[in-house]
Amino acid sequence: MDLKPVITVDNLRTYFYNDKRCNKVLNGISFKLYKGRTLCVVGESGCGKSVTASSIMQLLPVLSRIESGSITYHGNKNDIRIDQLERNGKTIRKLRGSDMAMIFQDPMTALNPVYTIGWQIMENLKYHTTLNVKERRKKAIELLEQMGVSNPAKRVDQYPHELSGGMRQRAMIAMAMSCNPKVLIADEPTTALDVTIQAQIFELITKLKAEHDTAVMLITHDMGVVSELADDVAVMYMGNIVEQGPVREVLKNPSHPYTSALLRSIPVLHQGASQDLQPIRGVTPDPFDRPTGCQFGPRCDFYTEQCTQMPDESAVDATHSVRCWHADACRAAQKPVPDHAAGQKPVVQ
Amino acid sequence: MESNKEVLVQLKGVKTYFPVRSGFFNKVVDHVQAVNDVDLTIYRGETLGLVGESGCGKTTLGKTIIQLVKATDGEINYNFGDTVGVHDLRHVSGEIEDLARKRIQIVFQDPYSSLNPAFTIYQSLRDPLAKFGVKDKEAQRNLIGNLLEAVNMRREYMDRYPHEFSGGQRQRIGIARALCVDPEMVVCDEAVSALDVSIQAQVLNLLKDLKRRLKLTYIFITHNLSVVEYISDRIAVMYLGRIVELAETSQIFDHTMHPYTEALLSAIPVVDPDHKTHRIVLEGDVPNPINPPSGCNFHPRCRQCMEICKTERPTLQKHIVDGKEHFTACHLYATAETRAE
Repeated sequence: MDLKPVITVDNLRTYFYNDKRCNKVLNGISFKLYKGRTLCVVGESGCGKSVTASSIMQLLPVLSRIESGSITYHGNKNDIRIDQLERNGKTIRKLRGSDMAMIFQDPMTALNPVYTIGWQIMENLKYHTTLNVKERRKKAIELLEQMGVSNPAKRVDQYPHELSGGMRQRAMIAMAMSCNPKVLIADEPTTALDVTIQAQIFELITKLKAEHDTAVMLITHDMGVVSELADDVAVMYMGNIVEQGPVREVLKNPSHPYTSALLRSIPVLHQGASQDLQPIRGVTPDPFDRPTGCQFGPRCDFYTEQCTQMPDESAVDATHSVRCWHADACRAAQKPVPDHAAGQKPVVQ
Repeated sequence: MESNKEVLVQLKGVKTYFPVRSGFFNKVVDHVQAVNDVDLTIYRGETLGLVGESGCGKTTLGKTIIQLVKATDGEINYNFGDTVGVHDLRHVSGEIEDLARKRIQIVFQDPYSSLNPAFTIYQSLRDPLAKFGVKDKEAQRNLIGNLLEAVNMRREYMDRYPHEFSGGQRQRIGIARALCVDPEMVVCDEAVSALDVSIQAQVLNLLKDLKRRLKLTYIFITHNLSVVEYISDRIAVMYLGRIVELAETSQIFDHTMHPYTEALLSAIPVVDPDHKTHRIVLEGDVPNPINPPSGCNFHPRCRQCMEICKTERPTLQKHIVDGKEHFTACHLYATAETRAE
């Protein structure tokens, strides 16, 4: 494959500490971000999606540590081990904003309310480019225009509270895209927005990705977003990537019981009231009191003795991998549904 | 909709305006027209889905129906049955008001802020029971225990505090609280929006099950169209305080009439890699409800905007599409009584 990885994450473990307790937020995750491709990280709240993003951006809280594993940024000249950099040191500050950029969930809290939109975009340009004040302002207006902000010459002098939610998110994307980053990490960029505005933002991200050949990592909990935007998808559960692969493969042919259970539990548009929603039983475990072995074990239909051991990642095919002892059984259980025996429920013993 | 269905609530020209105050004397300078001229009939035993973007007035309409917000104008006629008759909820008092409180209940959006953290579940659920006649402690505990079991929770949980529960459990307690006075109609205001997807399905199935068992009527307010399609019998689409389309669920999805509904439906990402939507991306944002556009509210963003849309406001008209009633407020269908399918 001639895909060029921009970021390689290998067996990353990030732990959070508080009150003598340790929360193993990320428990050995590995993935790659490729140039011009979108990786969607999907999972429920508390599964470690956002921590993955902040580990890459070195934005982790103070009482946390990358215990083992590596994050490598493949720059133009050389590879940089992000996990070994000094926190908020010179190198990471240089990378952040220019080579790697991030869009946050809530644009109202992520933007500074006491500075104008233009000031905040120009700040980024000030540190990462050699443009002078006039050029920076021109560039900021240009960026806002590219993002589809109406009347950019006026907006550039407005404060965040004067803009609507969609406009704020556009301003934030303008900020992130100001130095043509190689990696764009979007942490639930549209959760706070309405669907019609969400469609606008997605169209924008897709356009930017195509134009600049950016590697995009999109964090979401919405399977619909995944199937629309992703090239690859990584499903996370309690600090592990339980399944990853190309989006078609994973959605059509889920090999981890969690992925398939998740897909069965969401109502799908255009299928009406007759669809059979099957909730996942139980609740997500307390992160301080985790089950041993496979984290999904207690809620899983395929649970056996073997599951008290954490399974290793096994390959389904060249690009699709899964962390489950019973991946084959899980796949076999759902095969019949879409094809011949429509309506017949998967047999689970 | 068959004509033999019994009308439960009938809304006629309901308006809910919120005053905008400013200046030294807090003078009312303008009004936010949150709900504007809504006519709506809710039948007994149905689930009516109320959908729209944030700020379209769906929550305000829900709260207006249950009298948490007083309507500025219009009638909300509630059918209390043969002995009590039909009354306008805006002008009831005394016994009938109490009865209305008992008959209509609400489940709120955020399960974290809608339960009092200082009260155990029993204490939270006790007061409505005491108000409506169950004053004996043993009877109360027995009833609450049964309710908790009805929402798939353990009886013993009634002596715990809200912080001991997860989001899904709290939402189920919220549902139990709404059900404890044996209501006829429950307004579910974004009842599953704050929950994770795996939990969402549990609560949705519970709501469906309870409806069947207790013969409830739901008004289901949400912005999530996939959820509303799953649970509703009829759907009302709101835009800027007005209902723009109202029909049975399958009608809305198969024979979409209003351009806004069309855009809304096409904007939703579908979980199916083979599904290719022709996406209609709306320009711009929802206008300010203080100063809505002239004519049709939707015309500045509509791709099929005509001259008449800019000046004249369309009313909700009844059409027959595919043999079924279909209401829409759009000039596109003003002339043709039926649309050829």
